[in-house]
Amino acid sequence: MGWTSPEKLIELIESGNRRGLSRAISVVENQLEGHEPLLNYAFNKGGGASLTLGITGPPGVGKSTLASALIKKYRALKKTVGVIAVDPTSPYTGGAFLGDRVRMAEHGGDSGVYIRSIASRKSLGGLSEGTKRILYLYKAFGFDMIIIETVGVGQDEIDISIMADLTAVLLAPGAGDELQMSKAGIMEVADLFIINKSDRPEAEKTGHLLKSTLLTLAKEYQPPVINTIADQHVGIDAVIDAIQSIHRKRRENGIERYRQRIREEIRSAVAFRLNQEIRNAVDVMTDRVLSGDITPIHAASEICRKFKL
Amino acid sequence: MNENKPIRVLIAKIGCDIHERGPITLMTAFRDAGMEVIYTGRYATPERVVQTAMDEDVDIIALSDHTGSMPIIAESVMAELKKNDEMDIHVMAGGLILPSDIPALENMGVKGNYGPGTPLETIIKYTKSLVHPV
Ligand SMILES: Nc1nc2c(ncn2[C@@H]2O[C@H](COP(=O)(O)OP(=O)(O)OP(=O)(O)O)[C@@H](O)[C@H]2O)c(=O)[nH]1
Ligand SMILES: [Mg+2]
Repeated sequence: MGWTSPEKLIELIESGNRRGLSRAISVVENQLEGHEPLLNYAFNKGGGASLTLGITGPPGVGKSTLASALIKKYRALKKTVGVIAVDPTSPYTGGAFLGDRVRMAEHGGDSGVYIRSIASRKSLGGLSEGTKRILYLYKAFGFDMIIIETVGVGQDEIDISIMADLTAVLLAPGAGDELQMSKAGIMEVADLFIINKSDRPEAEKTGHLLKSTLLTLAKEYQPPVINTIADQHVGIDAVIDAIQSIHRKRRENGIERYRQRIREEIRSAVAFRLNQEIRNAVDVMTDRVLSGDITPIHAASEICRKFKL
Repeated sequence: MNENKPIRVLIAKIGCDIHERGPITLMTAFRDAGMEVIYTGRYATPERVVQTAMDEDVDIIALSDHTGSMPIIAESVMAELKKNDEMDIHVMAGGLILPSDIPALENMGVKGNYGPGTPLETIIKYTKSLVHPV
């Protein structure tokens, strides 16, 4: 489609043109020319009607399969769906295999479903800055339902729980899950637990274990636990009901959450920029230390001076 | 185009070709070369491939086929791209490509046209040069 001005992209988005959205995503993700006007437009437009669901959990647990099953239900309810499917970038090569959409292939021909595969490209840990910016565009485009899929490895769940209206954490039946959970602080970010692959033995046991772990939380904070078999579309209605009821409750303390989200957004955008700047300065100083010009101690204080610390 | 933007490739398999080894090897090679790789899965249609390429805003569609029908596949993909006015998405082809088919493919604007046994480095280098001409 060639280079397209932000004004034109905004016009395309306003008219519901997917290609416009798709190109705008590349522009904001890569901070190409025109990304700021696009983001300002998207932020100001907002997305009052959209509901953003985060789906996270360990690799291979069935996140994409569940997303696909949810899409099917939401489409039957005539809701449009936008998916941001995040897969990890290799820290060694910067490349990524973005495989989630293969599991959602049945929706490929549906004009009411838009799926974008995103590489995590993380530099600070957590959801990429790109993902956060893309979410603004999705809201401006006006999807009824937005689904963000990320692999849960530490920081990601926490980020996703700030960006999304609600977060579902997927687990597979088997021992050890409950340990992982209490360690990673997943309990605090999950609005909803889903034990997928419940066709497997131990599904029930894992459910009980999980529920007993959750008893340590105050009753009103205990998230529901739902068993699903995503590839057979079993348990999906229960997930949708839980999402609706959590969302209803959520609206009540919506302002505090919104404030938290905006804070996090400003913080992470600044941290991202600072990190870039610091990395460049460190590279320069490293060369100077290696050439015998200064000591690492000098180098560090010079960088701090540069940033007025 | 921004040099820092990773190259995005869609690997597409159209029709009833069940061989997945070729595309999987290629996916790994592209990823290890720093690209972002998306796969259509098997049994995609030309319309679906082009729609996916547009939704994912890829730079390149890499067609993989081991049934010997690349000219037919490529022709339908090129027609679909033209219909959508997306001629600046590059199309490459690889797999079981008959030498006698290559001139026709090149004529359509399909690039690469790599037969079995082509070294991966050759493919990677050419792919990069398509997006970032030197
Ligand atoms: N037995 C069983 N298999 C399932 C179920 N749900 C998904 N699968 C299978 O599990 C495998 C992984 O599913 P995905 O949906 O790709 O999992 P994912 O969590 O998105 O994986 P990543 O994105 O790679 O982390 C696939 O082979 C699915 O068919 C289920 O409920 N039961
Ligand atoms: Mg997945």
